Amino acid sequence: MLRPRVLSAFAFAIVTGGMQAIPCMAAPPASTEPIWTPQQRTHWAYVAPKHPAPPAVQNRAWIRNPIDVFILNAVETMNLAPAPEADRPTLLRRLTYDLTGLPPTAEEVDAFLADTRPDAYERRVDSLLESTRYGERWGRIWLDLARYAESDGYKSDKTRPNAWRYRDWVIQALNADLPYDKFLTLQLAGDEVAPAGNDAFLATGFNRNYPFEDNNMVPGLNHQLILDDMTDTTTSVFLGMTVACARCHDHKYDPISQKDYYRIQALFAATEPRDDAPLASPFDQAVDAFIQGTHRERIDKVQKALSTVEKPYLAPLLKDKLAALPREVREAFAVDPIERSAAQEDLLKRYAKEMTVPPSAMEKAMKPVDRRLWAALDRQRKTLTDSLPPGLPIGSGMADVTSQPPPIPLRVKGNFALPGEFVPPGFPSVFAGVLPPFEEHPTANSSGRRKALAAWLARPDHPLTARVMVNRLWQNHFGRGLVSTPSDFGKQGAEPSHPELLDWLATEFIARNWSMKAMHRLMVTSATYRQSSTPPQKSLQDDPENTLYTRMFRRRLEGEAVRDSLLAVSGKLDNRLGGPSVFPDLPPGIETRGGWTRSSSESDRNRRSIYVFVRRNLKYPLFDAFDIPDTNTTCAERNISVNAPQALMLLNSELVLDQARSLAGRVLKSSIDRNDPRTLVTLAYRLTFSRAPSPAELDRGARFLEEQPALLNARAERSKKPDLPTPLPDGHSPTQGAALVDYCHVLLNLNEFVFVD
Amino acid sequence: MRIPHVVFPTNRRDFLSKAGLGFGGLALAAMLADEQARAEVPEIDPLHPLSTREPHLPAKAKSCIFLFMEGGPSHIDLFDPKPALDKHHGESLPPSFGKIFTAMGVGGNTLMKSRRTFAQEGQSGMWVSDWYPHVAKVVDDLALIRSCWADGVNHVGSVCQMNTGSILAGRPSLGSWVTYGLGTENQDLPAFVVMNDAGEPVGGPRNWGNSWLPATFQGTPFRKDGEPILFLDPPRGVSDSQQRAKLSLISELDRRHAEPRADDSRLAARVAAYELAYRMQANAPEAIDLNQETPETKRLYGLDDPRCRDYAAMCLRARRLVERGVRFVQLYCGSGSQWDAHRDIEGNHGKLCARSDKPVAGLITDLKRRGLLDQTLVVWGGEFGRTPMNEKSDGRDHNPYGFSMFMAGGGIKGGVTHGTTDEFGLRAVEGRAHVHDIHATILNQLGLDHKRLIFPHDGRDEKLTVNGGRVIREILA
Repeated sequence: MLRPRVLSAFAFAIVTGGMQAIPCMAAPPASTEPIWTPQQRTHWAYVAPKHPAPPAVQNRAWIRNPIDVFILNAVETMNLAPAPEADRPTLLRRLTYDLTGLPPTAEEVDAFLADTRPDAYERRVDSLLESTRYGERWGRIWLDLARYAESDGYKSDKTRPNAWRYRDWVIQALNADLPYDKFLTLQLAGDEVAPAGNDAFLATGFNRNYPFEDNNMVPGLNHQLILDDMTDTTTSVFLGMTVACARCHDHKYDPISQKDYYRIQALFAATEPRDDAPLASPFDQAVDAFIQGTHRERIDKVQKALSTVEKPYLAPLLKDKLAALPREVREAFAVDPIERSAAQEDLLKRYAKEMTVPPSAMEKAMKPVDRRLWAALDRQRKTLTDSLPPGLPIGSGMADVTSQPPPIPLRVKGNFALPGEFVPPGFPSVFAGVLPPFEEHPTANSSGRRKALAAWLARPDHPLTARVMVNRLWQNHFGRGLVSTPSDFGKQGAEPSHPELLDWLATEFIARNWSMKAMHRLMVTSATYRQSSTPPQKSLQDDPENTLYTRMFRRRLEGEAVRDSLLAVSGKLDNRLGGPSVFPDLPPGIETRGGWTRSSSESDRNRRSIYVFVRRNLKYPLFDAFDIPDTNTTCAERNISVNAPQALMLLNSELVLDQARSLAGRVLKSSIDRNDPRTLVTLAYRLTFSRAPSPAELDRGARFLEEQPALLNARAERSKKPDLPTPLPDGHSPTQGAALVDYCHVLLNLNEFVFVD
Repeated sequence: MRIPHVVFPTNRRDFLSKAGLGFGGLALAAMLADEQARAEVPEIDPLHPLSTREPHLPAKAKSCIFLFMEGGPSHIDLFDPKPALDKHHGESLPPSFGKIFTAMGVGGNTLMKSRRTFAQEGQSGMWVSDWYPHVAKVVDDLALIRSCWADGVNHVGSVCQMNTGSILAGRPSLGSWVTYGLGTENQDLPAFVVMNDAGEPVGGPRNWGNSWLPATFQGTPFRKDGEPILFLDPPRGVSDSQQRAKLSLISELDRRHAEPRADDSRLAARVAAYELAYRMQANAPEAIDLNQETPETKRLYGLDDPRCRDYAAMCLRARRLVERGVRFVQLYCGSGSQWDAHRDIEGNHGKLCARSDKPVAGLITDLKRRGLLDQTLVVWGGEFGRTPMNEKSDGRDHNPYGFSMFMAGGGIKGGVTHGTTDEFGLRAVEGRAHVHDIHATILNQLGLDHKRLIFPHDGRDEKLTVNGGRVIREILA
């Protein structure tokens, strides 16, 4: 049984539709805020990094840049040695995947191996960083953090038709090496720092990426959920602080009070989504408005004429349908359209679907004279609608709607139904005295609060901003962050494995004008990065977790990179940059409420994975099996799982089989002797792995090509069509061709295909 | 709580369990250094991530079958008779109830009595309406919870909560948590199987998704027709010998590739995953092949009755799956929100009750006579119940404030009726059981302590029951 006081709190929650009504809820506590102890305030991550002097090391010959000094110092302290440098083909494959998400082509490997200049590797780094593929690869990493998706999620999962423009903004910003301080400023406050700039506005798409339940009936709750989402995501991504706990109570481990949470939230108090920002020039807009206006006028006229013709037939046609509808609907329908009340209009709108008459039925019911007129009008309407000029580009993002934001209340125990005291905007209290406090500087239309937040984050003396970001870059190059909990730099998070290196990188990042490309360059040209991933036994024994970086980590490709690689080696990858998302084939039997209309052109379906439409409620199956994150919250680090559905997908899906057929076609096309198994195996390895097969691999492959036709012939007898290479050259044996398809299919399934040394 | 930055694993198995989880695993490994967490984060063998793991507690059930009546069945017309409703039919709720918030705003609508006839059934005298005549025969095996409540007012949030604990999207599903905690008994079949009888459940595949748990633990949808699992069969009828030749070449080349890379357990794990995929090709179709069942069994589930044939097939397949050691099976009845009787509850529920009655009763009877009910926990329920107030004169609105669910088998006390709603069936009053309590109870029967089943994620030790949950001990045997 519940105690009466508790019951009343619960009843209150019900009345207001409160979520998470907790029966043990107590009365709102008096407003007190914890006072942080010196230990809490001086947690390593809250003290600004200083540029550390590189430590002394013995093996100076190994050093390529200062990163290596910090790494080697720890390695030597443990009486260990780094792994030898990886061979050059391995290095190029690692580097190309790392910077572009794609494998190097065989020609690129040849050119690299032939380049004997001492800085051949560095030159390759530069040209890969200049390639637009770089933005597509690293943009995807950022999109995980930004919980990017192109639909609302929840029940109806409505499409967000312009969300892709934020994705393109990210790719372009990275390709242009937009300094990170500007990168974050535009995403948080593009509308405030550059009110007239289209690009700046598109950047605010970062916080427009919240999931949205359009069927939420609790008044005001959706706005609260959006505020919570922006608060949680912004702090997690840019500060590496897990403030979400403080939504309900003071943080258990970190110096983040519940008031801090709502203080940060108040920075977003005036911010609302804006999905109708015109991106075209004012002149184009004026021209378009004129054209659209005259066009629509004509359509309206025709529509009115149509209704007049239809009117006498409508009621009899709807008779049966109307009879099945509730009385109030029938009554509303009977009222002359001009006399209907707003409630009746609403009601009819809700039942609109059940009151339509199919054109064929209408046509059938009409007298011949009306039918001719009706048909002519209907044709005219269709012609006009079809020739409606496409609308001008529209942008979607966030913007302040007022310079006077409403006050933000603390929510007692995080319960929306229990608003507490109002909390003025501010920065987390633990930084009081270390960084300047928040100040209001509203403009005519904007609160200026997010601009202030961005400026505060981008301060060179901010203890977290640079550290958090260089750690993310490191994490994605080396498989694990120097802080292994990349979005949690608090007490519960891991301590940095190499604190001095982290600080050196953070200060260097700022000194190099927040250039991400400069940091990439530093990391991938280090000797640390160039180590072999196959380590000496001693390093395995003494550094089993590779905490000291005594070898390079082996990368398991993400689902996106698996698909891109499949398309790349089959020669079908479409390399176009940017634009609206595409819809590759879904396996039969997969359904989704929000819709997935397959792209009609094959080249569209074969575009890079970052351009595949991101539906919150339906992850593209291949990506799903390979751990693409849930898009409802920010993700700093993907899981890497190995499971049977991945195997089934690579073995049995049409997608992979199609690529095997195209790859076989490519092999046959470039082969001088199509009947020599060894030539075919060599070419297949070259196209798939950018290397020559070993003698054993060559023997085994040739044997497969010789034996498989017998199995295929056995199948052919049962009148099943084999899978042939696309294209199968004239005169080439179909059975031999099919055996080569099987062989290529095998190569695409190998560990070597999904793991990068 | 400080976490040392160098973590030395204590043994090879420990090492493998960290290495196998890769990126996420490294964060996990850091967490593992914490002594308290070590006891609670399941140790995952990377070569066999789904192999069985020791439960926290003595397990009463090995498997769970969750019969999800999607759209919200009316407790007032099925399990929770309300004489006061008959008496006050056509009147408004007394003012003492306050303002009621519902999805379609029926708070001010008049009360509507049930048109069903209720009777006390079995030895226990449990109340069941004439919509569930077959279920009525197995009441002595059921524990009815008439005091459930949830947080959401609409479908998508409520279905999400019944599956993940939260009305907000983005958390792992119950079945994922269970397989993460326990693994599964049969390594040749998926650990967590989902079947739908109609459209896609609202919210889509997230309802059986893994969220931030490794993808290995996500539910596998079985399809009604054709190959049961996506991509189970080789495309366009590749012959078995042809497929085997390919698989053996893959395995041979992968082993050769792994030799100089022996430290990386993920490579071996991938070879094992291919072997499992191949075994699944052989085992999954057999596991759901109903031709192996006798006509009597088929009739027991209602396979001969067109009104319930589809759901009967799903229930019978579920029995075959748990018999083979599948850990968690979820069967949606009326998937795509079909129980959502905003109008014409008689027509709507009449049809859906006929669709579920015989199959559900048949499942419980069949499990029992095969001695499987003792080790299988069966759960019946929707995401919420329905209001005592009418909607559109002959329907009922969503009611998350009070509704009924039942459990059977797997250490559940039969014939128990637990908890009450108020006189009209609007709100749970006595023995209130929140969704977190339901989840805690399900985990408990499977041998998992909901407070100890954790996954470290973004600085928090995440739990299925978030920070709530209490095992409903009153219904345990």
